[in-house]
Amino acid sequence: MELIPNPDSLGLPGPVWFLLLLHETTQTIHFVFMNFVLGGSWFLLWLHFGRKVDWKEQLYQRCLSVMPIALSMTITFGIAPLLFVQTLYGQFFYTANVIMGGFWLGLLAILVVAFYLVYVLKAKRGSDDRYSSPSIRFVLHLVIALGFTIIAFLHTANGVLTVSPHLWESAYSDSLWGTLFGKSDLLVPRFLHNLVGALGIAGIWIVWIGNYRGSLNPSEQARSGVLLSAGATMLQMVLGFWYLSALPSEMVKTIMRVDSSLGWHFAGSIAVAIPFVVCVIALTAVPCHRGLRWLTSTIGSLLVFGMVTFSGKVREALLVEHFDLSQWTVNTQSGPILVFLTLFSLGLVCIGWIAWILWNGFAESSEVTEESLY
Amino acid sequence: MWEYPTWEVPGLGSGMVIGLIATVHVLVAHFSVGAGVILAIGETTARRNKDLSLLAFLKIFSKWLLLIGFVFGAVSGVAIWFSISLAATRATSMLIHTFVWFWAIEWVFFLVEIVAGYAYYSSWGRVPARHHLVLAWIYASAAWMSLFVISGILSFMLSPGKWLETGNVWDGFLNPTFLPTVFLRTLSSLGLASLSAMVIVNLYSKFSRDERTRIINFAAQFLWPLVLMLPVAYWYFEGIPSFAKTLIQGGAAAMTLFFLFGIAASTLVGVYAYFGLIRAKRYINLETALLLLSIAVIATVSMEFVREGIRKPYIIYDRLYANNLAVDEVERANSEGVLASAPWKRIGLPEHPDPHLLGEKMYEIQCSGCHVMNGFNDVGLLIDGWPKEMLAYNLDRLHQLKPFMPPLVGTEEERRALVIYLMNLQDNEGANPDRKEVARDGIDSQS
Repeated sequence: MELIPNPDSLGLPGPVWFLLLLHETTQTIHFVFMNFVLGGSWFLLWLHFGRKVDWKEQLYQRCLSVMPIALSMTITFGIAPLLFVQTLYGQFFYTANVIMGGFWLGLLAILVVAFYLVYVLKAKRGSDDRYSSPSIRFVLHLVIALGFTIIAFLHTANGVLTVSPHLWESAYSDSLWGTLFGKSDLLVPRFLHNLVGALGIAGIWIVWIGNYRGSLNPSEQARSGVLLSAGATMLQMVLGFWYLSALPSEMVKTIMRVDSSLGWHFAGSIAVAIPFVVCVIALTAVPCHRGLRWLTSTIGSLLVFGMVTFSGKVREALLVEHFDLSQWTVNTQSGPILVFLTLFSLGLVCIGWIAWILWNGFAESSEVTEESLY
Repeated sequence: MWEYPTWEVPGLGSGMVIGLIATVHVLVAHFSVGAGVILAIGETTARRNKDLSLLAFLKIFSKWLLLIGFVFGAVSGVAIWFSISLAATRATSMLIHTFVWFWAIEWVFFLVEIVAGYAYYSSWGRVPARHHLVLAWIYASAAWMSLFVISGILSFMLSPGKWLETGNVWDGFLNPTFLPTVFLRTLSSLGLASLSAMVIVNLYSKFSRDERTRIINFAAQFLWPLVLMLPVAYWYFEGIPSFAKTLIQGGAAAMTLFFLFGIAASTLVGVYAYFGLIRAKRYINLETALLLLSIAVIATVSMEFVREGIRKPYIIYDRLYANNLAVDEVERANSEGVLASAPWKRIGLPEHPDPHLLGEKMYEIQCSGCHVMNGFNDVGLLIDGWPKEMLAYNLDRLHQLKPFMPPLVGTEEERRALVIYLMNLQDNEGANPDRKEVARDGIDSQS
């Protein structure tokens, strides 16, 4: 296709498998945090109406406290896959960006506004403050949740445009500012799949928050998260089939064949999804069971990873007639890779230490004064 | 050559969008780095001297860092990524395929910076003092290392050095202006954070006048390194390409003025801090602090403007022109034509477009990134009143007559088509009825 740019002549600075591994691992972490931000923002809107009940008020405040940190981690862990997708699929990704240019940049304006609104809600104020009015807080919650949903939609649209070069010409010609609504059958089911998936994973986050030490009625708190997760997961199955049916029929046939790479990835994702559903159902009965929480969370994270890798395979398959990753010339930069891996390992150790001192510090103390620390 | 679609931003131009976002981000990012140093040294000092008011201030300061640096700074950093991929797509692709591991390294530091920063802010009074202090130093180190790494990539764009011959990524990273860039940015970071601290302390009435004075005098210690701005700028100057030097040395009056202003403003703030705030231990109120911060902001913005400006006509020096044409592609573009290598501009175009249409496409491909029709740096105003021969003569020798602009490339037919298009712009007042009026007013006012 004439409009597809050539891959960059500088080639890849590292092996394809390594770049893919980094891309998919970091994107999985990004999704785990993002799912709480997106799904959690709608959950908070619902929870807002029940704040007269003590345990709901506590859960509301705790979810609100987690939100900015999760948001910050979503952004930070979004940067890494952004780097690697540009490296691997730059010619498709950049083109999609330009086609939906104004919207693509605009999503960050929405993000910054929503981020600050979270802090407005989180700020502790006196009861006479206008931001404590339930109706104003409802509006703020709605704006935040809609903002995150629009961002998710724009990201989905970008992903769809990236793998749909046949839509580029008409989408670009519509407006030089860039339009995103390329007429693709994939857009709506993929977006709903992402949105509902976010609710499912957010539910697991809420189970953990509900079980945090000092919880009032932890089983009710956790159960509200499990029910959200269970409902979303059931709906997700229907949406998954819709999304699957929107893919080109030839690809669906390939997915159904277990002797294909795509088929294996799909089978792998389903194989992880089934125990996840079982765990979620079991959690509805014992929402405070520590071992089950860990198991569900681990399988849930694996499921997100499975979906990310399957999605990567679908991208490969949709683009294969135009480009194959094996076409890249690889000029491995061993020195910088070694430095990166060393620093990444040290960084993880550092983050581990920070998590450890925070866990211990928060366990041992309530608020104390600076004087007492000398 | 022009394989990517172009992103048109009416009135402003895509290049200006990058400039605006990058400028705001640089200010916030520098504040975040400098704030880390102030927090780490400040908490060490406060705990050693049992200075509770300084400690109380640092807690407030860390909240500002969170709200400005971690929210706006993080999002504006991503916005730079988004905007460069829209407006300078080819350059972004070249940079990412050269430096992805360095960006990945920078990301590691950024990740540690964010985690340590949140931990630091949320653990005041909740973890032992020594742990809190370690968090401050982790944050400060990671933030500065992030600056260190990104400086290598930013300075590469102006002075790729030996990379042009060897293609070795280390040659590109450790380029001639890398270290002076690190120093300049460190000084700027300290200055912006220090002056911000002086503004912030004045916003809180809970601090007495004496406490404020002590905190201001403490923050001022991070300003006196600004007196090093002049020698470090000279070091930087020595590393930049010779044509870039001529632009600063009067080749482009705006560059010279902004450069001198940036140096002078930074040095003056440093001298004032040393004599007024550190030696004489004076107090400054909110208005004065805001004024000083504004001067520092303008100085930083000026230096960023100069850094971007002296890189012209390139995005990546001696490799890629500002209009996405590679240096080694000029001959091919002249022989094969511009439109032949710009598939997105051929959409909907007849096989043999008339000269006006062809000229319009030439303009969109090579000119519109900097010259926005009826908008920023409108070319119509710049060529108003020019006869056709003069226009053609200038365009053919663009890179000689205006060496900060990329050469105009294309076949003879394409070049002539651009002349016709631009002449039609002059004749057609309907395109911008105010344009001639504005130009005429300008001439009248000069006379």
